[in-house]
Amino acid sequence: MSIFPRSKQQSHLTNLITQLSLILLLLIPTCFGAIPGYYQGGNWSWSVLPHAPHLQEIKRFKNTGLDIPNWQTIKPQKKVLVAGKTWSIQVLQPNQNSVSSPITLLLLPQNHYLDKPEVEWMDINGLEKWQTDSFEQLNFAVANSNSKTVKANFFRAWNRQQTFTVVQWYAFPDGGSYGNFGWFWRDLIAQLQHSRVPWIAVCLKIPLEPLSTLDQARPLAISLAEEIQVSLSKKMSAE
Amino acid sequence: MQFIKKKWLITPYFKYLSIALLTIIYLPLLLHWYDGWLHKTISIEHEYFSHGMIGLPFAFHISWLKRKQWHKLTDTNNYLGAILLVFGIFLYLTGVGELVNLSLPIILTGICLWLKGVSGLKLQTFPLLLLLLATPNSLPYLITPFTLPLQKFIAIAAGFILLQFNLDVSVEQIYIAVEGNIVEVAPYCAGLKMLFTSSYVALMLLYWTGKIRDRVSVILLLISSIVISIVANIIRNTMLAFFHGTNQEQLFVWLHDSWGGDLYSALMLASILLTLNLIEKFDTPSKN
Repeated sequence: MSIFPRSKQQSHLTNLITQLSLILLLLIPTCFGAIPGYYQGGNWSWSVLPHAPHLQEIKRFKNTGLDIPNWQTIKPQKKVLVAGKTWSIQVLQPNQNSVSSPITLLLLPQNHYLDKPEVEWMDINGLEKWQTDSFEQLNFAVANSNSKTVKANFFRAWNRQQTFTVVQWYAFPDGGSYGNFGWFWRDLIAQLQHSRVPWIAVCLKIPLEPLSTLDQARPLAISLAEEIQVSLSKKMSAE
Repeated sequence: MQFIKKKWLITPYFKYLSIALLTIIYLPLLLHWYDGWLHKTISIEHEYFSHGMIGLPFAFHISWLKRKQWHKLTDTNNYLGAILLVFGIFLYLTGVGELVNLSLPIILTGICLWLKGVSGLKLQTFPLLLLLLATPNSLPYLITPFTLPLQKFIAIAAGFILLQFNLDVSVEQIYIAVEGNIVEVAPYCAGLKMLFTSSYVALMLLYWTGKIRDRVSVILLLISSIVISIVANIIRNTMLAFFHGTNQEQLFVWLHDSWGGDLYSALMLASILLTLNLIEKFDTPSKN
């Protein structure tokens, strides 16, 4: 019990002060939290979650895919159902250098204000049924800022036909994260300002020569992931 | 002296006033919790704490039975209580659901420490624990990415059981294919809700029977309830994969979405009660 400060027997006066201070303290949430809610007919701020900003624009990605500067979508963008959720799938090629093999971009925009990032990467595993190894964290910046605020997952994956490097992360207006905790704490802080953090799950499949290492794909992975994050950030924080 | 005499006239009303204020602040929140548990309108995570439907009245009941002991305790301040109280009020005033929920156990713990010191907290430890474990929070959401090993284990175990029935079974990661029909052991099927519920019920039973003071019984029953809920969940997933694989969709829906699931939970809780009886039976002769 040493973590608690020693308690002392109190006089009648301190007893009175103790009780009175409790009442006064409890009056604060009563007057500034509870009663205004009763007055508005049971509309307490904790009973409803605010809506994420720009959700309508974000949902549109499902139908349109994403335009990335200096890259073109070479096949028509499609919608694909993965574990009950609608992803956008598009195949990209750089404008200048069309020799490199095309890259696949999968996007899952938040669809409803109550949707949270959950187990999208497991769903992708179920879709692709690939083998994976060489997991590492890929850090990059949102825009011109120096702080690397996106922490993506970067790994090698292969099936019978092909080998890929894969980059996966949840994109937010001001950053990105592979895990759901990265979204959770940002969203909690946004809720303090009566707002929310919208999100888009991004999965990038870059073809790789069989048995080559992640290092060979790293420069391209980082530059393309940055472009995507910047474009998504713009859409998510547009006025 | 005059002042002290007057004080004796008003302090008894203070406790009623603080109870009234707490009711004004938290009754809507508790109704909101119950509404979410009964009508499943808030979120899947909220339903993970639905054991609070019996846990909270039980906690209130225990606290009420202890009111005489509470009054006999000497009045002492503990400043940690004041800190918790102020912190809890701050959380409530943020108006963010997650934090408002947490403010209730924090404020009540603070009040115990502030009015009666450490002995006050000790007296109310169990009801406060019941409240804390029933306070809806995002922990079930945050651990979903980490339940994968458990999901894989359930898939493998269910696949193994189905093999014994000479069915065409294959298991890949968290997917069980029976006769070509695939069932996924999703994170929310990993049985964590039943694990939460059964441990919570075990805790209440231990208190109810007075076994809570006996460390061996507590450890035994908590471990058995964890084992029971995992085994029960493997059986449940096996049955679901079997129904789906043999095209008995009605039975699948009955167990997955209808009252079959409730019956299943009830059977599981009954087996925990049975285990407690067994523990009591073996415990008594050893003491003689």
